[in-house]
Amino acid sequence: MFRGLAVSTLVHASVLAMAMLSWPQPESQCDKAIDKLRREQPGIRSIEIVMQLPECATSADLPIDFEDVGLVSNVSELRKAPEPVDEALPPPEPEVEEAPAEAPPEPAAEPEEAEAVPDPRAKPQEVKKPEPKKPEPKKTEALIKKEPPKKKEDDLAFLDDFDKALQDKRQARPRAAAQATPDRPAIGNAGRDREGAGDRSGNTASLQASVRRQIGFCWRGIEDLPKEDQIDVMIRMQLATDGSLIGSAELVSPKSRPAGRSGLAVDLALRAVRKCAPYNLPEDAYEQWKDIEVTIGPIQE
Amino acid sequence: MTQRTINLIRHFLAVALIAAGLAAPASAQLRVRVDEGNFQPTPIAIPDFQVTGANGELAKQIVEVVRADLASTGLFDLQNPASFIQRDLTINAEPRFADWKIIKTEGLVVGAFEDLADGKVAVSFRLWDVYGGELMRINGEPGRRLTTTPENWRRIAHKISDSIYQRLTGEDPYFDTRIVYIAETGPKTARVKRLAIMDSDGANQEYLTSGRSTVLTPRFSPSAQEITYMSYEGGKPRVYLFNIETGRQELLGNFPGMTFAPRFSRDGQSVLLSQAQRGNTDIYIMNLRTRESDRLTDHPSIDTSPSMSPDGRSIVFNSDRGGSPQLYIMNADGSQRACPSGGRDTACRITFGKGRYSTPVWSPRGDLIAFTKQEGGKFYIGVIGTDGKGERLLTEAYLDEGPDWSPNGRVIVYFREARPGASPQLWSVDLSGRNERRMTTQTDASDPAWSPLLQ
Repeated sequence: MFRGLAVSTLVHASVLAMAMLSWPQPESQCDKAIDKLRREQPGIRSIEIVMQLPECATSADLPIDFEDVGLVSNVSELRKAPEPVDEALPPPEPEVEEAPAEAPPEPAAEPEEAEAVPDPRAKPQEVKKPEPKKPEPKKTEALIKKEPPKKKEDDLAFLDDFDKALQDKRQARPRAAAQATPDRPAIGNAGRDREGAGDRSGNTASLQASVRRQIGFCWRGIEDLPKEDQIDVMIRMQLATDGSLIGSAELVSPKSRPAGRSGLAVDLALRAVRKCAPYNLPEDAYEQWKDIEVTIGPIQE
Repeated sequence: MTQRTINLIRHFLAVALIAAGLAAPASAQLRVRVDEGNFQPTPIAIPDFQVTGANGELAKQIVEVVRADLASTGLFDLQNPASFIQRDLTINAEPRFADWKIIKTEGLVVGAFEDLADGKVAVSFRLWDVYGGELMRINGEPGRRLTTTPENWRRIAHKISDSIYQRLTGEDPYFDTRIVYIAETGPKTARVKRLAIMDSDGANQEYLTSGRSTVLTPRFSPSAQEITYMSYEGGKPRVYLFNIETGRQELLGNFPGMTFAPRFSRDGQSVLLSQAQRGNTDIYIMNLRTRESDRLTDHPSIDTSPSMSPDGRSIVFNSDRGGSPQLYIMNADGSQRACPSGGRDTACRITFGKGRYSTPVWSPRGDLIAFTKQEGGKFYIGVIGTDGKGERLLTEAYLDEGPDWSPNGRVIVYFREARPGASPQLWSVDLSGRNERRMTTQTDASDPAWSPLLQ
């Protein structure tokens, strides 16, 4: 009999224990209210729960719906500015970029065939009708067009063009230099005196110092990046005789923009080189500075 | 020799000479190294957003908050919209880069605002690199679109600022955060000190406690849901936990002595604090789940103001065991460590300068410790490396105290009394020492703490 009693007690005790253990935990008011809403409105979204029960909004439970839809539209479908017919302009020489900063906004202002359409914004510039895209660098274009030898079929007559090219080159430069001054509008380049006396000498050391100073002025510096992200960035740039960039300067090292903060060092270096053009360097030493390899980075210990 | 051959030779020589003339300079490349820059704020342009729908006013408010956020960093020069040349920007077209190069814009933000059918609002934006003539990808995407309810518009604005800031500086974001502080009112002899909270830009200021009892040194938990602080409720200074959402306050632990200077551990599971008992002050750590506490220092000196490293392995604190208040670092598990000054010890001294060092706070980046320094009758906010090297003083005033870090470890917030008798105000300074600026609050303010990024 006692055994039966013991067994019975044990069974009752365990049943009671199980009942107590599985007794539902007390819910907070908010949990209850939220559950009720979910039952009454199946599929209700978190944001609607928040709007109906603002006092129960905690970021952890009911997150704000932030959607990161990356593709606002496919980049490749982006069209260029609607007018004016940038696309209709004669395709530029692939190497030549429009002169930055003081380039007049005329691609935005007028159709390319209009010789006589007055553009209120075009006042500061005189020479642009014949070659609407490139006011000053047209002399550069002339140079570049002529350099690549024109190959002709017959025997050696093509060599005559070399002679001609050499002569033209010699003539074009003093001509261009003479033209440069009256053409050049003052906007954006105010304060940069092209005839700066200090830059007259063409020797390498002073050219290096001049380029270093100009780029250093345009470069924001990377002192506030962590030390390991302050990397050297090597950029190759080719300049026209007026100091403007031919093409857009290219990254040599690192080979591509790294992810992470060191990518920023690359961004800042490229931006400095691009926005600093046109560079103020003596034309008579052009051969020495037309191709520059600049390394921008932290002070080497 | 025929005339033709002579001509051939002549032309050949001519070509050779010309080729030599043309070829020679091609390999001469000017090599330059630049290692000194010229810090200037980066010019960026944020034109008004394109608006679809009736809520043009809201779109304007959002763009103004974005401009203000970015301008507040001191790293950007927000260009005046009146100077913009291109007026027909749309979200899906390339800008006319020439128009922006003229005014020297480096980064261009193009945004569009929409009223959605379900009552929400959406803002899309893209970021353009003007001089590179291309789109800047944001986390690899060509743009970003954020949607929320209209009441939440400030958070959308801060999230946009965060994206732009992150992409242009490489830093982690910090605009979508809040700052808790002590709002002070009343005469100096009967100051009322209440816990208050506001957005990182000073908007949405609210009081969290009634002011009936004085509250000091509030600190956020890593989840941003709770605040720990010291209160004189009941007449005795003790550490409490406050839940922002529910408004509930609870006493932390049953310490016999006075407890103060609380800070959460990095994982939010524990609170570090100081306890003063029978004339001795030591550091304790209390586990919030188990409510058990461990004593971390056991020294007759005053050990206080503990702050944990981001990896949870070390603790920096203030101790006068060396004769004057200085900063020490110990292992969280109490084991010995190699000291920068040589030898091994359970607590290594890292500051050796003249003056008194206090209120150390470990940077979220892990490499620096911010502190208050007092010397020669002046106060300074400074930073020092965890190895004790590179001490730099960032600010100086009659009274500057109580630094705390923004969640990206870039900005330090603190409070200042500019002259004897002046009221305390909140200020912030960039890690580089630049851009010292006042944070406006409705009342006098002290003891600020910066929340983590809001979820």
